[in-house]
Amino acid sequence: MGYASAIKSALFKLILVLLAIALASGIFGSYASCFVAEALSTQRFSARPNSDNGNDVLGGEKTRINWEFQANESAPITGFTLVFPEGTTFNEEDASVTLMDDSGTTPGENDHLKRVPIQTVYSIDNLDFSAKFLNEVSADAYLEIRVQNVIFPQNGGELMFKASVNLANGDIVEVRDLLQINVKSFSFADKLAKDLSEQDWVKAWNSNDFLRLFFNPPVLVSSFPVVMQGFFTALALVLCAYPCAIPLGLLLALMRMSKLRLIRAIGSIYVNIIRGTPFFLQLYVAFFGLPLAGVQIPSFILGFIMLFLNSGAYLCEIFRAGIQSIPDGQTEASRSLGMSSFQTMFFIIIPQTIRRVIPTMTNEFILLYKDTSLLAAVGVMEVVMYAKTIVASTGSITPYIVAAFFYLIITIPLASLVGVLERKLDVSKAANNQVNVLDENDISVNVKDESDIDGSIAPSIALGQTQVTLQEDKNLQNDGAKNG
Amino acid sequence: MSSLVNLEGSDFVGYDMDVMKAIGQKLGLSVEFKNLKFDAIIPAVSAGGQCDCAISGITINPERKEQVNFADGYYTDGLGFAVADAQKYTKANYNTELNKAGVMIAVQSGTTGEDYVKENFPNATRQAYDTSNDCFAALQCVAAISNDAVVGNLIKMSYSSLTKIDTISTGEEYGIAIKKDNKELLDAINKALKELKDEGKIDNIQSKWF
Repeated sequence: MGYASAIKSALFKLILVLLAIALASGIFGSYASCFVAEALSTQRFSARPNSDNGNDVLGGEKTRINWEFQANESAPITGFTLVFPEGTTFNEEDASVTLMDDSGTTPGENDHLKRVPIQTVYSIDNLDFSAKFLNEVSADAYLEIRVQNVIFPQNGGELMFKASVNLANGDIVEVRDLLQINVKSFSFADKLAKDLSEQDWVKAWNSNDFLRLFFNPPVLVSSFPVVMQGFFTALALVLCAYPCAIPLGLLLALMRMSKLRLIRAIGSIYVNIIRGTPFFLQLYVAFFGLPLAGVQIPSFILGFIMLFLNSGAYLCEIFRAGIQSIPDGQTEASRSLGMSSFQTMFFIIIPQTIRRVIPTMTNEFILLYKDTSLLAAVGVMEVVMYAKTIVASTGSITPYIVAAFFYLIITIPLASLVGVLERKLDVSKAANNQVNVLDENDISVNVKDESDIDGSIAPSIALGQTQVTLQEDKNLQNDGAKNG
Repeated sequence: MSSLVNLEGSDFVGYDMDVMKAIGQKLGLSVEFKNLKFDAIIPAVSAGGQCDCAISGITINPERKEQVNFADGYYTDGLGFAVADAQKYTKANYNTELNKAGVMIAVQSGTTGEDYVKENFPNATRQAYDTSNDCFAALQCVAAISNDAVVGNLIKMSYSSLTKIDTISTGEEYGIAIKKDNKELLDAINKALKELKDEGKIDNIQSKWF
C-alpha cells in the first residue's frame, strides 16, 4: 500500500461522507419546511361580508379581517407582520389581538372560550401591518387577530396575504398557510351609490333626518337591485299560485252549490276556515307546524301551496256569487232546450259568470300579490324580506320605500284595469236596463246577443221577464275585500 | 324562552329587562318597554321618536356604532350553535359539514349570528327569522345560531330535541343603544351602569338568569 492508494481511499471516504451529508440535509431540509408549515396553523381567515345582502366581500367598502391561528412555535411569540394585498388601505384603529384560552368548563379539552386581550403596539409600513405584543404570549397560544377599517381595491379578485411571526429567540417564522380572501368587484349600483354619497347635494339632502331615513339616495340606488330579486320571487309565487287557485275556486264553488249535503258541507267548512282565519296564522301553522310533524317542504314550494289554498277559498266565493248572479231563467231555458245540467253549467252559466267576475278576480290577484309579503315572517326571500335585511344593515327605512315601489308597479296598472273593466260592465248593464226595462219593478230582460253591446261573445239565451238583481253584484264586490 | 327578553303574560321579563329596570331605578325614572323586531331596533333608535334607548342583547360593533351610540357593555357573550341531528354534525366537523350548498342555517334577522354565518358559512343557505324562537321552531333548518345565553335556555326550556354543539367565543359585548344626539342619557346610563357594577347588582341579576 503506497501513499497513492491511501489518498485514494481517503478521498473516496470523503466523497461518501459529503454525499451522505448532502442527502441528509436534503431530507432534513424538507422535513424542516414541513415542520415550519405546521408550526402555525390558521384556523380561520376571513373578512366580514360588507355587501348589503349576501355573503360577498366587496372592494372599495369598509370591512374587517379576522385571523385565528393555533401557534406551535419553538419559543414564545412576540409579534407578527401581516402583509396586505396591493391596493388595500387599512389602519390600526380598533385593531385587536386576543388570546383565546381555556375557560376550564370542559375538562380535558381547550375550548378557547376565555378571551384575554393582548396589549399590542402596531406599526404600519406601506402594506405591512406589524404588531408587537407587550404581554407575554406562550409558544402554543391560540390567537385571534382583528384589523378593522380595511378597504380592498375596487376591482376585487382572489387577494393573497403574507404573514410572519416573531419569536422571543429572535427568529422570524414565515406563515405558509394560504391566507386568501375572495373580493368581489363593485357592482354598477354600488359604484353609483358610492358616487352619490360623495356628492354635495346628497350630503345636504341627508342632513335632514326625515329625508335621510326615508329617501336616502345612495341606499335607494344600492338596494334597488337587491329588492328586485325579491320582486321576482314574489311574482313567481303569485303567478304560480293564482292560476292554480282558479280551478280550485271553481271546484269549491260548485261543491258549495251541490245538491248533496255532504259535498256542500265539505266545501263550506274549507272556505269558512280559510276565510275565517288570518293568512298570517295559517302560514305560522304550516311553516312551523309541519316541520315539527316531520314534514319537510322547501319554503318556496310551501309558500306557493299556502297562497294557492288561501286564494282558492276567496275565489270560490267570487265564483259562487258570480254564478248565482246569473238569472235562473238562463238555466231554465237551457234545460228546456235539452241541455244537461253539466252542459248548462259549463256552456251557458260559467262563460257568462267569468265576464262578470273578471274585475273582482283581478282584485283578488292584487290582494294575493300583496299577501306574499306575509311570507317574509317565515323566511321566504321575497320583497319585504330583502328590504328588511338592508334596513337592518343600513339603519335606513329607504329599502321599504323601494319595496313599496315593487308592489305599486304591479298593483296600480291592475287597479286601473279593474276600473276599466268595471266601467265596461256598467255600460252593458246600463244598456240592458235602458233597452229592456219593461216596468218600474226593476225587471229587465237579457238581450239576445250581448256582443252587440260590449263586443264580448258570451252566450246567452233570450228570455222574457227575468230579474237581474243588482244587489248580488254588490255582494260580489264585498267578497273581493279580505284581510288585506 | 329566551333568557334576555321574554314575554310572560303581558310583562317583559329577563336579564335585559332587570338590568334596564335597575338603571331606571338609579336614575329615578320609570321604564316603559316597547316590543320591536330585532332588525327594527337600531333604525328605530337612530330615527328617534319611538324610544329613548334599546336593550335586547345588542352587540356593540363598529357598524352599529355608526348609527347609534352605545353605553358601556353590560354582558359578554358568544354565539351558540345548535343542530337537530347531533350525530351527523359534531363540534369537530360542523365548520366544514355545514358550509355546503343546500344546508339551511336559521338565523335571527339583523343579528351578529347572521353576520357570523355570512362570513364563515358562505356556501350554506341562510334562513332569516324575526325571533330566535322562530329559528328554533323552524326545524326544517339543519342548524340554528343565536346568542349563546339564548341558545342554552331555549334548548333547556322548549326545544329539548335540539343539541348545542358549540359555543363560539366572539367576545361580543351587549350594550344599550341610544340615539346619537342624546348625550345626556348616554352619560346618565353609563353612570348608573358603573354604580350597579360596583355594587355587585349586575352580578346578582346575572346569577338570577344564567
